[in-house]
Amino acid sequence: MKIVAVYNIKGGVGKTTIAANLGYHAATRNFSTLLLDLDPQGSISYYFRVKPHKKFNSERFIKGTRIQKFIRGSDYNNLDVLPSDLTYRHLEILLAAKKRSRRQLRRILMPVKNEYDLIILDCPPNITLVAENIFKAADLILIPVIPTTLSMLGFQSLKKFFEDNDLNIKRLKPFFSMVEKRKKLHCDIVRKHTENKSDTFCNTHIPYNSAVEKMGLNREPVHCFAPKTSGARAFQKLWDEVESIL
Amino acid sequence: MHKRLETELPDKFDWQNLLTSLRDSFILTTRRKPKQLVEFLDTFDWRFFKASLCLTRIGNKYTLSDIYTEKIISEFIWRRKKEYRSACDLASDNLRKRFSQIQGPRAAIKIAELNCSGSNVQILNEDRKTVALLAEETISLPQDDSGNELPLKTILRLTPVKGYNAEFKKVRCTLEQLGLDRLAPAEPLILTALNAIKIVPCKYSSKIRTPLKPEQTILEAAVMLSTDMVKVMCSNEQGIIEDIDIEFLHDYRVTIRRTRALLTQLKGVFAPAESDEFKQRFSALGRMTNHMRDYDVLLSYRERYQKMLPPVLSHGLKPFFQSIVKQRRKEFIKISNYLDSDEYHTLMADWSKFLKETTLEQKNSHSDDNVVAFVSKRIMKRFKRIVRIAGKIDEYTPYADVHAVRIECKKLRYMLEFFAPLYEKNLSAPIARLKKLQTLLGDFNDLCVQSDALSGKVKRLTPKGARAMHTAAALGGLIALLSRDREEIRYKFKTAISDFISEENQLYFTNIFAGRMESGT
Repeated sequence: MKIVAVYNIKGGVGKTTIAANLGYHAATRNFSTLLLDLDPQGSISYYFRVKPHKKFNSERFIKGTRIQKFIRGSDYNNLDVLPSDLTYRHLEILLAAKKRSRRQLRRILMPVKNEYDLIILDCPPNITLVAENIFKAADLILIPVIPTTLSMLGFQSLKKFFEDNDLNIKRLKPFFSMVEKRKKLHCDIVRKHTENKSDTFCNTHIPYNSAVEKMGLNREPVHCFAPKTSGARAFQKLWDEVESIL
Repeated sequence: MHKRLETELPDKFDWQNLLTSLRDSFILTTRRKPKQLVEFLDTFDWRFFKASLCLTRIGNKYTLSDIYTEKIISEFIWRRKKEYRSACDLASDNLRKRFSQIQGPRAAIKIAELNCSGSNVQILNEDRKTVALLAEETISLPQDDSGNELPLKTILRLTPVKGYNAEFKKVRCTLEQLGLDRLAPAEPLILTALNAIKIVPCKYSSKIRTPLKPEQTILEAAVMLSTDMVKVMCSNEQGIIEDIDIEFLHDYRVTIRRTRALLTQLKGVFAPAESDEFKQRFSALGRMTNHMRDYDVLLSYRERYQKMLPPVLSHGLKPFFQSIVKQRRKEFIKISNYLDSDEYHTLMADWSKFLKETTLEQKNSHSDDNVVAFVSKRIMKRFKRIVRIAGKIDEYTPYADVHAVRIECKKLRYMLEFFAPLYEKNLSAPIARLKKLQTLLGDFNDLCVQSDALSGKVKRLTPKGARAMHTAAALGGLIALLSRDREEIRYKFKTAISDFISEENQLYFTNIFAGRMESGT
């Protein structure tokens, strides 16, 4: 079982959309996949029309026993979802109260490790204790980066955090997200990184695409309602790249 | 989570009424499923089925799934004209590895087929989230010789979705209220298909599992064993003639050897003149297949050989393997023609007739001996002989002497396997020790045979042109590497032999067999 996190310090970079679509493509390639929504907003749960169990909350999640009971099947083969709950805003406090507070997520996921080939974490933004748990648990951390100055700075801060805290920087895999070809700045930054190769960015870029935005309306992965769009193709390509890394 | 349930629908079931009832509580989306032919594939010896796997083909799409959980493990689209058979033909490394582990060198062949049609209904809650799946499926056997399709059954299948147990219960309740109260765990489709055509899975095995009884005479036991071996030979004939995969010939040859071993081991049981005659006729039949088997083995090593050599040499192997393919083709035609010939049919008919009549005819010196007493004596004799000659083997022993031990081990193994059911004590431990030694001797022999075959080819090469030079260089490189591997195996002989001829193993053999050499009890 592999754990892949989709994370960025910054919000609004397309983390949830990417997690949802990667989960879908992994499942179609016969990876038994669990999408774990860690964001109290519950956008993954919204996309897949999955509501959390009435008795499920952040305390039960942290307890970790019998989380299988709260996992829900999606409308797609091989793809399950553990929806989040608004009480996830308290995750920080609950984690802080635990011993070895940075290693709780890995413990929580232990009971389901034999059931799935892949767990994808849709992470909330900011470097918090939740994020540190994610850094300890994940085998691969995908970082969607919008090709803008601030977004690039955010990525550099994350790298520095990994270096300062002696975390394995090789697990960070950035890629450009919401790329708009008509914007010169986007094109310049993407070109610079493609030529420079100082950071090992994925070859795939996720374009800014209206079909991707419509996911909120259709509440299904892009491939299901607009398979021929550049967005759908990019998600498929990104999964191929991630699969080869795993 | 609940399991998938199914029930057979009665003839005039009102499907629309069911949908109307469900619409009171749920939103439904219905999709018609067009009729499609589902083919089920497996190897001749049921390797997929034995691993609880099912390989199906719908059009050009092949799907590997777990028979019981129906979880899809792999899928691929096959775009070649010839249908998929062998794992080595798969382009993707992952797929090739996965399928090789399951089917080995065997070909996947069609074992059954079904026509399926019907409709799928997604049962949605107020958020339009699927909470259960309902399917109505009509299953029939495809057209028979008279062109008629044979309807088997129409089933209703209810599949739960994880986390929606209450909704599943509600749907089930509705079905029960409409008289569908016999919902049971769904039968895998492959079992439906096999039941329909009355095929019992895993029936074929190249291993001889004759149910012998300790009170039988050795003649009765020998006839039963030989008759079972005739069946194994016959069941492999068509596979050889159609050249489905190399294991048909391999199993066929092993069975010939077993038959010959039985005739040799059981002296004085069958009439001596006939026994000698059949020994010779089966020996000739086995010899006839030698070349083709050698070529099969060489061709199966193609990829391995190529990896053994550096790229500068490996391309020289191409013409060598091309010539092997040609020679194999000639041998294949020879053997398939022979298996279809009157001469061969006469041999098999004579042998079957002999086995049928032999119990009625005149008795021979040991025909009436008790099977356990007779076999125990032979096994002890064979074991002692191996202890005597194998003890002399070391890293310098010539090939011929090693080969002699290997042949003795084979004979002992056949005897142990044939007659294991007669002994209360489990013979798997001595068989496992013997197997370990045989593997080593077999590997050594394979390397000798391969080296000889390659050396023979080098001698026959005409030293003209760059192509011949490249081939000679590649073969030379391989011979050197194979010789090195062969010499490395020699150093492992000592441990395996001392394990087999250890005092502990000798005591084991004595305990099981020596005490039963006289009366058999």
